[in-house]
Amino acid sequence: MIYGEMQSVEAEFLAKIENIEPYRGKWIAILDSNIIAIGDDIKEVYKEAITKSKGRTPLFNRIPAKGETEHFIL
Amino acid sequence: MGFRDRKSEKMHFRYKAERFRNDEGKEITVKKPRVEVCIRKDSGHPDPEKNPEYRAYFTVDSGADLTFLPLQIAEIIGLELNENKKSSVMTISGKSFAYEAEVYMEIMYRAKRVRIGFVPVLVTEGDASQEYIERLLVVGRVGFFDKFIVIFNEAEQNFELRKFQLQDKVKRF
Repeated sequence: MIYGEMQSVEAEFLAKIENIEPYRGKWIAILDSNIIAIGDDIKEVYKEAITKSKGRTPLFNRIPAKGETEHFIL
Repeated sequence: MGFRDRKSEKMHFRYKAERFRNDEGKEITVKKPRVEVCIRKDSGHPDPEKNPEYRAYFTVDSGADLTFLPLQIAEIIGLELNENKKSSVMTISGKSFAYEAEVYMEIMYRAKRVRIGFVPVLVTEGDASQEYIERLLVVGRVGFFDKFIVIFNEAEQNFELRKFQLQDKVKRF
C-alpha cells in the first residue's frame, strides 16, 4: 500500500519548496507549480490570488514564522 | 468525483509535514493529520463573484464535534452569519461563542475532488490572528466522520478514509 498519494499539484509543490525561509510568517497562494500571491493578511492574499487564477482556486497556506509554536490544542 | 468512483472509496493520506523554526533557529518538522479541503457557500460551481471558494489544509480532528472556521475565512467565501444563530463553544481556553452555519465541502485526492457535501460549521465570533487562522481550520466529526471510517496510524504517520458502507453499519448491531 502506498501512502502519501498526491492530493494536488499545488500540495506537491508546497511540500517540495526547499527554501521556505523567505516565506516565514507569510501567506502564500499556489496555483499549479507557482506562488501567485504572497502577503501578511489572508484576505488581501486571497483577493490578489483570485484575480490571477482565472476562475480556478489556488491552495492557500501560511508558513509559520520563526518562533511560532509547533503544538496547538484548540 | 463522488463516492461512485471506487478509487475514492478508500483514500490514504500521509500526515502533512510542517516546518517550524524555533527561537534558537533550529528547524523542527511536525507531521499532522491534515487534508486538503475546498469549501464554498453553495454546491454549484466555484465562482469568484457569486460562490467564492477557499482551499487549504484542515486538521482532521476526531476530538472536535464540529468543523471550525475562523471568521475571516467565512467572510472570504461569503457565508451569511446570523446573530440569532450562535452556539456556546467550550475549548481548552474556555467558553466562547460561535456562529452556526453550513458549507459545501470537497476534499482533494489524487488531484481530483471528492464530494463530501454540506457540513455544519462553527465560525469564530471575531477575527482570529493571522498565525492562528490555519490552526483553527478543523474538520470535526459531524458531517465528515459519519461518512467515513477514519483510521489514524500515528506510529506510521498516516491516515485512511474509507467510505462508510451499509454492511459496516449492520456489523455494529
